Amino acid sequence: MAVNRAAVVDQRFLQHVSRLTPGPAQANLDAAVAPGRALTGRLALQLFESMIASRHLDLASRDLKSRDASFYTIGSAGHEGSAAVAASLRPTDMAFLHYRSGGFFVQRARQVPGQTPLLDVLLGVTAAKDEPIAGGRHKVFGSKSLYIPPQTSTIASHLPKAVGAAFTLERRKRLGLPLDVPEDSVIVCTFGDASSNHSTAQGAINAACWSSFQNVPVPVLFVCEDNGIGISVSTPSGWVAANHQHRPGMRYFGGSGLDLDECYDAAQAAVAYVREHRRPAFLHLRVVRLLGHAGSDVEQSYRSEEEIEASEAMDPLRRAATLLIEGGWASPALITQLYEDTRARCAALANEAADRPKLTTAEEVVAPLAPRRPAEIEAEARRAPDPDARLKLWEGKLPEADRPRHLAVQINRALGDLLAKYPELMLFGEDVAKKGGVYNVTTGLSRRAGVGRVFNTLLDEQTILGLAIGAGHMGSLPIPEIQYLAYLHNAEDQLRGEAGSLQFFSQGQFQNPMVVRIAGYAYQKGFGGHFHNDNSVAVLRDIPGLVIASPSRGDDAAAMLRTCVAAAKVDGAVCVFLEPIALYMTKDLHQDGDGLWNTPYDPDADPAPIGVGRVTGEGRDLTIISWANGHWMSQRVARRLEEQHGLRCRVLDLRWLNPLPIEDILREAVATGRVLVVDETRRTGGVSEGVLTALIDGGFSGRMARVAAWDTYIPLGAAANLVLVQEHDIEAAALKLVGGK
Amino acid sequence: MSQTTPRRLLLLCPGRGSYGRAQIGTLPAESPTVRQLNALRAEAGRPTLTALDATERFFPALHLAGEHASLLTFGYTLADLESLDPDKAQTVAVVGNSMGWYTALAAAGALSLLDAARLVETLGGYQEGNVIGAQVLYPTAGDDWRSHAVLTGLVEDALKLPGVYRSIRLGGMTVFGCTREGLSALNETLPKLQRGDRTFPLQLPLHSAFHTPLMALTSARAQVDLKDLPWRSPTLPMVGGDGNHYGRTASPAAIARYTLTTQVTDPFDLNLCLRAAMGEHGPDAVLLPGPGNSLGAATAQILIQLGWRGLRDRRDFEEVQASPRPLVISMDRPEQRALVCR
Repeated sequence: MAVNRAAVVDQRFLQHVSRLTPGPAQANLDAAVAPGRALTGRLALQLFESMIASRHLDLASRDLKSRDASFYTIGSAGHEGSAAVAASLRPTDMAFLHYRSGGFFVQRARQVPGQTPLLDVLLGVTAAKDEPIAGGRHKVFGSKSLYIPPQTSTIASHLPKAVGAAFTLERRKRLGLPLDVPEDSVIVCTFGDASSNHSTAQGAINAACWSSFQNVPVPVLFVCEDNGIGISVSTPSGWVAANHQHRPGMRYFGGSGLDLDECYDAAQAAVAYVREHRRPAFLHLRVVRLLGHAGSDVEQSYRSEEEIEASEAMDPLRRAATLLIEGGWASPALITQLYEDTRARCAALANEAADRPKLTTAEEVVAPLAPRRPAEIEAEARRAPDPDARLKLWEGKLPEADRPRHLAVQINRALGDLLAKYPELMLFGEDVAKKGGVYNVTTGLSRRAGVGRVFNTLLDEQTILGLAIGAGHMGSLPIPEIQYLAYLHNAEDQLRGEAGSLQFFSQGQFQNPMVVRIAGYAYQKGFGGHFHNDNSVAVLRDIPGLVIASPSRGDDAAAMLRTCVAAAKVDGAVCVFLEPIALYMTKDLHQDGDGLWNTPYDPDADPAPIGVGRVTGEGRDLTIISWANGHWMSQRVARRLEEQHGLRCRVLDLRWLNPLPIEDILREAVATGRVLVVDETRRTGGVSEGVLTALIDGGFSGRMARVAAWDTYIPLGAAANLVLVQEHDIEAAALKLVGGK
Repeated sequence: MSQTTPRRLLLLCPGRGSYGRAQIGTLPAESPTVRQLNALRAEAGRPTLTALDATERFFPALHLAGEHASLLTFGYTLADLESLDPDKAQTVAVVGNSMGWYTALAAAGALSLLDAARLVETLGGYQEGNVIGAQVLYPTAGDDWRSHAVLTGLVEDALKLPGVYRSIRLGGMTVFGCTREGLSALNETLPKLQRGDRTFPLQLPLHSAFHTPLMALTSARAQVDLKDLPWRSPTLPMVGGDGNHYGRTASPAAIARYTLTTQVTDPFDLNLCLRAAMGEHGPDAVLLPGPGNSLGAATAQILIQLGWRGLRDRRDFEEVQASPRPLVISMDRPEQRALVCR
């Protein structure tokens, strides 16, 4: 039978305390624990209290698990020294904590009155709906009043947002925007040695260095709690230090996370450096992992007993007790009393937590996922920008005075108006500033609104999206641009795992509003190949709560963009604005020179409500449902079907891919009894799957068909057309559907 | 609950004004605490606690006056605690309501009995012929003891009146601290409300506007008069009326600072205090020692707000109280007292 290491660690701590020889009692607890150390005896005692609270929370969680009352046992045992990091920071220094930062969490709670970190953590592991941050949806370290946004990250995917928050904190100061934290605040994030290897972590660290290297302030503290092992895989000895000691623009601080005095000195130095210099620092704390990776982890299967015992011998609680008792700061009796009292408190609170109500309906579970208040969004979208701000931005030449123009221009104008309307709005991405983007969509905006608000980033989509999340945390309204849809995929988790989940895991207490602009889709006359013609949106469509807008026409684009930004502002919505590259410059619809795809710019146009499509035509023979490029082609085909075959169609532009305009889909389908879905995305996982499913779910009993792109990557040249939906495909499918009328 | 496992109790010491008509003649005169406090009072030429308790009836002008009521409540409460049976009761943390904080300091060992008594007598003495403003009660909970939106709205609006401050958040009750003008405004603004034999807004007789900025001079005076008070780290954890935890390793200076400054001039938030204490110490029950049972309802209302042990309203609370594991144990009630006393 496997030895219960939790019990061993617990008992050996008490044995250790009983064997220590007390030093002469200290007369002044407020003196330093040793010459030259910043840590006082009293603070050491208080940190020790936080450490044992963290330890007993781990033990209580495992005890609850044995009663099937806990659902999470990854703990902080061995990492409790992070309490000293918290003590070096202010409770207003926003902290993104990984799952082993229990010591940090408890200690920070000590800095703010009225906190109950013990009960809160236990409500978390028991999935109680009273848990104050995630409400039973996950066990996280999070708290609004402690400036700790909840993280469910397992792979350091919270590091980009920490960099983003630090960047935005400074950027808001430069822009003269208010902050709800002191101006010299810093941002801290914690993670392990194993996850420091993840590309997301390295990308974030790189982005901080890249900024700092060119003197762009990024006051972020990276705290690596290095226990030397990632589940069962050892980190090479010395790797973390070697990998981070000499990064340009970032200062490295190292120390023992096992010894309170050393840990506190290192943390104090690192925090002081970041706070004063507004540059990133890497605080490398050597710790140990006790009790295995999680409660379910049989550590004995990959570590020898000697190795396990060697780690246990380095228990930071034992070391802290040694410091306190041998230094004369506390008696063994006091240490034991604190330890046992905390055990009793955690046990009692565990019982209370276990009995608290759980989430009992699916509706309860999803309630905070993506709140949407259409009336408020509409009112916000209708709210006009300050006329003077508009005039200034457009340099006296208002865009509505111009002739009807194409999609790219109308998006540019809407962005300009939004920059005038929202001082906190920032627009960024690769090449968006001086160059104005690859397709000139952001042309002139950096000059008009200032380089502080419209700026280029480094070439890293994780950083771009992380910056957007962090900007939201700091109260800004970000519009990041992903240059091509295919470039999103390497960073998709920043939307899926991070931005999209924040309101869900914080019951809306934290929000990261954003509108991610992405240039996408194919039909670029065979130019550019797969990476510039990607037509896969499946990866976005199933992100819960994500709003996906995809306009086809310029006037719709402007109205939809205003709605998305209003939703971000009102409800903290995370929106993706998927722009069809091939239509950016398209001016004509049916024939060259007809100018029918140009639209006038109306700053006061009615907003486009989320999940509401647009119908063209009133035909009774066939309903064609599409969007973006497919919609443009469908309009052309509809004209030909009428002229050449006498078929009268109605064409529905979905406009929103999530949520789909279900009511419009059903109404327009029923109107003709025949539906053709024109889907420029892939046959598998494409949007038409959702549309047809909606029809079936809605009880539509008419005829249905679809044309969709092949399940393939897009090739170069004319071969692209072989796998993409063509107008003749649409026409043939339409005729087949109506039975050759 | 087995005989060998004492109940883990959160001790909540009552504020001034708890000693009322029903308590005449009930102070345990043989208590060592009372004897020490009597000696202190005699030395100062003031009526002893035992003498105050031995009057033939309750005289509001006498028993409710700050210079008497404070130490009477203090002594009564601490004397009560002498009866606790360590086999039945284990105090895991100590809190107090308003002046009860001073009693809590003694009960938790942050001050010795006589030093805490000096604190009480000094601050209570300031009140002698010197009532500053007034304290007024108004409910924020309904008859079911759940928070009531309309009443809460009335209170929040009233807090905007000139000369009106929040003095205490007391479960489903708000205690305003106010100037004379504020008092008139409260009486004019708040609708009359009858609860049992009490009519709200209800002014507490002879009470100053404690825990408000109107007490700034009192705070300043106390800091001078009590600057040599020998504060200690408590031997039992405490939670203040600001929700701050003061554990066994707390700095005595921090406790002194809180007690003589913000505790005097800032709102005393019993709701936050109990929330923090319950969530940090997880007691089996809240123990109410001392005269009367004035904090019973407030405590219950706070526990309902917290959803403690699944409580949703007054009915739930009454069910729990009738069970073998009551959540509030009042030493004023013989059947509950028996659960924790010899």
